[in-house]
Amino acid sequence: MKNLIILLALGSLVHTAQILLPIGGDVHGAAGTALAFGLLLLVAFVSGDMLARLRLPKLVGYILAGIAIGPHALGLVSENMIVQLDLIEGVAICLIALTAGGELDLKLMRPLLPTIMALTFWGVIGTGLLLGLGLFLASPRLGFLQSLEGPTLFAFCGMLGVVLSAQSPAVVMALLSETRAEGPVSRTILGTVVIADLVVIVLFSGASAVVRSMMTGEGDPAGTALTIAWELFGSMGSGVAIGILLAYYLRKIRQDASLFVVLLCIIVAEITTRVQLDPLIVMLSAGLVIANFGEPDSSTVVHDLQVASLPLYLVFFAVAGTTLHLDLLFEFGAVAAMLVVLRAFGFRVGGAIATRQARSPIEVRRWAWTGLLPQAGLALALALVVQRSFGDAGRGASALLLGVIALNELIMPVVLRNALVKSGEAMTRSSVVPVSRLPAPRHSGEQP
Amino acid sequence: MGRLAALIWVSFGAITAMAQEAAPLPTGTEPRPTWPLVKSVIGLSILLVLAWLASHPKIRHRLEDALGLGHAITSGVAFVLLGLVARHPAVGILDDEVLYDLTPLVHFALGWLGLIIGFQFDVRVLDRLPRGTATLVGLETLTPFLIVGATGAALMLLFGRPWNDATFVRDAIVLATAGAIAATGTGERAAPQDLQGEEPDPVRAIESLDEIIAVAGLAALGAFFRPLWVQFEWELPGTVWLILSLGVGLCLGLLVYALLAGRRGSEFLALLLGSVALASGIAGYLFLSPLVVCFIAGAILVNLPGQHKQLCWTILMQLERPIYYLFFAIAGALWRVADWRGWVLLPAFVLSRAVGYAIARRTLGRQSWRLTRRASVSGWRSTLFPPISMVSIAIVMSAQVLYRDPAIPWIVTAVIGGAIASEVLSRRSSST
Repeated sequence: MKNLIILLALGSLVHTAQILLPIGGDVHGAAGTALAFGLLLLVAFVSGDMLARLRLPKLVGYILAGIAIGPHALGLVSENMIVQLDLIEGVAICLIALTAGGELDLKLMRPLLPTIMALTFWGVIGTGLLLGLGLFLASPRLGFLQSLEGPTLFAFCGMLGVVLSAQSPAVVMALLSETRAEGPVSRTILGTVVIADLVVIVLFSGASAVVRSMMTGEGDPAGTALTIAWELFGSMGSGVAIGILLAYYLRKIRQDASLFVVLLCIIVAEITTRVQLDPLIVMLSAGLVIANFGEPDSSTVVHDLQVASLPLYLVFFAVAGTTLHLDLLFEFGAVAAMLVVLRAFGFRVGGAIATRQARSPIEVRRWAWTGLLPQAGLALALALVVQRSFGDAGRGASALLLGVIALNELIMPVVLRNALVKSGEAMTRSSVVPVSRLPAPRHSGEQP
Repeated sequence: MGRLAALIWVSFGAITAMAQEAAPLPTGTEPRPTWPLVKSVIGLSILLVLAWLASHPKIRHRLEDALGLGHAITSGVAFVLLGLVARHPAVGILDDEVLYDLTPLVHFALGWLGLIIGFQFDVRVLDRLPRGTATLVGLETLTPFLIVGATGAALMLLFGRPWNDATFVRDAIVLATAGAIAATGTGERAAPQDLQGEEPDPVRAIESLDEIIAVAGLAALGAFFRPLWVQFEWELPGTVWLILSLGVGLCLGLLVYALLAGRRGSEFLALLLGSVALASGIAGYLFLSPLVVCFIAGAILVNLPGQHKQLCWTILMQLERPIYYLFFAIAGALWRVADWRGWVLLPAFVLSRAVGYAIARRTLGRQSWRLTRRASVSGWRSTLFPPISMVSIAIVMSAQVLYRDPAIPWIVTAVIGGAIASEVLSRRSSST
């Protein structure tokens, strides 16, 4: 009840402020940024709290908050504000990637490597092909595909299948953190989504180049290969360099390490995209270096970042919610639902084949595939690339993709959370951060 | 951890500014070169690190000892110079666009400071002060306020501001408010009563009354002098805007209280950051002072019962210094060194302030506990040049955000230069 009243009060306050705005609205936009950040953070927090009481993932609450107050619903946060806040995504992704990489202890992962590779192959690549085939067979019912035919249509559907097979390390990390899950299932899921992300990025780059070449008649295979190689290996190399720098700092200096990490993330988030590197791969690689070659307690610093980064994560997922086009679900509802089911089926079957082939433990066989279900940032980003790059077909396809992603973003975290609980790995990790790390206040007159 | 998370949000303003630089351009325009963006990102990151390091107690005390400067506003002068350098076209880190895009950060920082000052408004402590203290402090503050204000207004007219335009009055009030506040003796703020133990220290409470009076002045300024560069659909009188400020602050204070109840650790931190962002955003949205709105919210928080006060205070204090240093850097970027009007205003500001305090001393004499205490520590002459409060620079920033006035660079010169001059004169007076 208290949370509901708080939500109503927040909404009323902001709505009143909007009524009293100057003529022309927030003409310069500066105050709106702070307002949007604060509102999204608070509403997301309260919504997450409410859903947690219903034993649902807080993450879904954050996303629902964004949907509710975003421009497609109540309009308390405008599109302009979201554009500015969208940029916080870069820093959040870097922190998430660093934390994810920091969790990948290769010694612990080694026994799971066959499972991870098999899941990536059968689960991710196999499902991508299955989804592409499904779209190809459904193409007569999809108006935006009518302009394509033959091999071009097949390649286009294959490319969309790759996008639909993308997962979300951010959602997985958030849920593993929320449920404090630890064990072979959690490690398998995390390892798989991280590697699968890399695979999807490479596959999409290649597939989109092929489709573009088939649609326009122009192509530069060597250039495309070089671009992919630079993005992949350049990012990894930069990440390793950053990881070495970070490990050195943690070993020699240690003080205010979190500050150093945050500043690094800011610089990486802003600069890497300008030089065609992927910040996700960069910071993932950095995290891997820290976890495997740094001081034994270096990972604690990375864990601690999760605490300080809570405001960023709240806003990050809420912003993701504001960009969900639920209106598109009405347009493509049936097809989107079919694709969601097909995707889940593909992961289930692919997961079964992979874990049987790799002779994985029983718990991994039963539950690891659920980690592949949630979708968020990467899939959204690829859908937007499709929208911008392939004319009318791309715009139509993007609408369908966004509808599918919306459903997966809302429903699948619930499935994953249930799986983590039923696997017995939830609440097994000790709280890595004390309740409060804040120093005790000094009384006046005391020496610092 | 609090400093880290707060710095993340402080950095957000920098990220936003940089991102605005990197925003996609309309088709047909040339893409912005990468190097200026890289330079700006790295430059701002260095500024943030320096602000963070300088706020560390050990480094701060070493700096103040080395420079022979005892007060934060003077030890922050280095950041003014940094801001000046960063603004230079050859360096190009803090250009007009970046400064504009840092406005959300300034809003947030003003809100944060307002919350801190609001925490000084602990009614239980103020109730224990001797009767008439508020009147004495008010008179002690009002005298320099009037003298500085009159001098400032006269000089603005001489500088060519139109006499029939109320803006010169407004600018004079900003200058007067900045000059009327004196810094606390040791730079340490009064913690809420619950953290002071059984016997709260009334000294700290009295020294914080200046700031509370200044916030009241800022509230009146924001209500009765609305910005001229925007039009409002509703033509509301000043009193209504004042009541709106109070109302928004009250609602936000109660909301924050409800949100923070029972929270700890990272959740508490996230909620506090979000609350200040929301409050300062709403205030900025309505062109009210974020400092005033958050002051009211802070006053509500400190006077309501609960376990939130200790955590709040700890987190608030951790970010106070870095914010002041960032303000100094922005003030430095706004500073027009070559503008002679600021340099003319500077000695007038210092002298009129001294005259104001001299009159207050003569009028109030030993009735003013604060003046007496200051005199007993550093001599009666030093009471003419009390140190300038860091809140003064926040008031100048607040005015810049609300009004975007051409007089602000002059006021920056006067306040910063006046702070250094006051400290030097005060030390000379106390050593003779």
